[in-house]
Amino acid sequence: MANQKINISNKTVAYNGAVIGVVAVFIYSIIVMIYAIIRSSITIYNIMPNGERSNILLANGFAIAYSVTVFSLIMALFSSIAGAIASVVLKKSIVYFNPQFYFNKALIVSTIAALVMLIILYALLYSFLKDWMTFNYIETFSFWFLIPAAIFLTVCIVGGNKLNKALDTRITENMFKKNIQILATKK
Amino acid sequence: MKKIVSFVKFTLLFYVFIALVYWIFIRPQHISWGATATEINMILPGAELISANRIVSTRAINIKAPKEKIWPWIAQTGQNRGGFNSYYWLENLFGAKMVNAKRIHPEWQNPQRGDTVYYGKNEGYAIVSLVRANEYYSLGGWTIYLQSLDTANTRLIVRYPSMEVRQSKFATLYYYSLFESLHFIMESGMMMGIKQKAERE
Repeated sequence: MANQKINISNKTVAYNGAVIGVVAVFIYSIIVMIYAIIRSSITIYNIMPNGERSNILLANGFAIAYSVTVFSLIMALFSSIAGAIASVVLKKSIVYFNPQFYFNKALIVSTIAALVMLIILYALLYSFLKDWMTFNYIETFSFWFLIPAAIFLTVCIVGGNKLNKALDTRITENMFKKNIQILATKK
Repeated sequence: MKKIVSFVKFTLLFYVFIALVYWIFIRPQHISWGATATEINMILPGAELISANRIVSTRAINIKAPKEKIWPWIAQTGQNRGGFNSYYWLENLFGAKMVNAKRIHPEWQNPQRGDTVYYGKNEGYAIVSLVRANEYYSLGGWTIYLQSLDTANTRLIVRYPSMEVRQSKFATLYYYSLFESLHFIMESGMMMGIKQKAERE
């Protein structure tokens, strides 16, 4: 297997991983944005009288949307880097540990690789953030770490399997092309 | 992958739209949300604590209650007291560990000049610089002022001197891109929270 040529370059894998990292942050941000706007709007609706309501509902909604947008763009930068690194790690892990590209094995390899990356990253973050990364701050911990960890794991497992399939297809295609070439030469 | 890239482009366009609407239509009015021109130009207690190079916001809201019903909720302001009467669930996403009191706590009803008021657990704090029961309360220039309209209605006016944005480029960027919008959300939330509690009493 070591001699097999993998036609999907690390650069392509890293680019795709970075884009998927950005998408994950955007989707999470939009969900948070909608939740925060709806929840605060319900509060405002119950407090403010008719006539004074629409102004603050709009201002509050756009202020939340704008704040989330800024956070989202900042986090997208970090996420794209994490996505690029994670996807290359996944590719290397799959090629090394699952050279036959079995589906079930890819699932296990992707999960383990994702868990290892997550543990390393969170251990690093914990050394800076300490108590903030514990259940003492349950909302903070869930919002910034627990849910993103779940998203990361899901994306790695699903992405790992897609990558496994793509690698398998590419290799099969290459072998097929090579065989055709060999046959053509023999003729 | 093409669909995913399209999604990224669409989201970026959506973000640009939000930023434009916020900057063109929303920000100019939220700086003085609910306040009249007189209130914006009014000299409030604590004005001497505000340095010249600060962006100052003045916001106001009507409360159908006399000052005496509103004051107890202002007096117990602070994370280490009765919370800020704002969106505690948003504050807690940033490690504030905020709990908004649902009742008036007698033990927090006598704030004194020099008292420490925390914004979040183990986070920043401010010192009570001015306080006069049923009238005003100021944390270093962030002044909450009560003005009677009649025996049953009060105007709650809040003036906030922002961080000194001319200190550095980073401070300016942080202020305009994040702090100002977040502060508006939380401060208007606080004002409405006080209104809700005072009117319920």
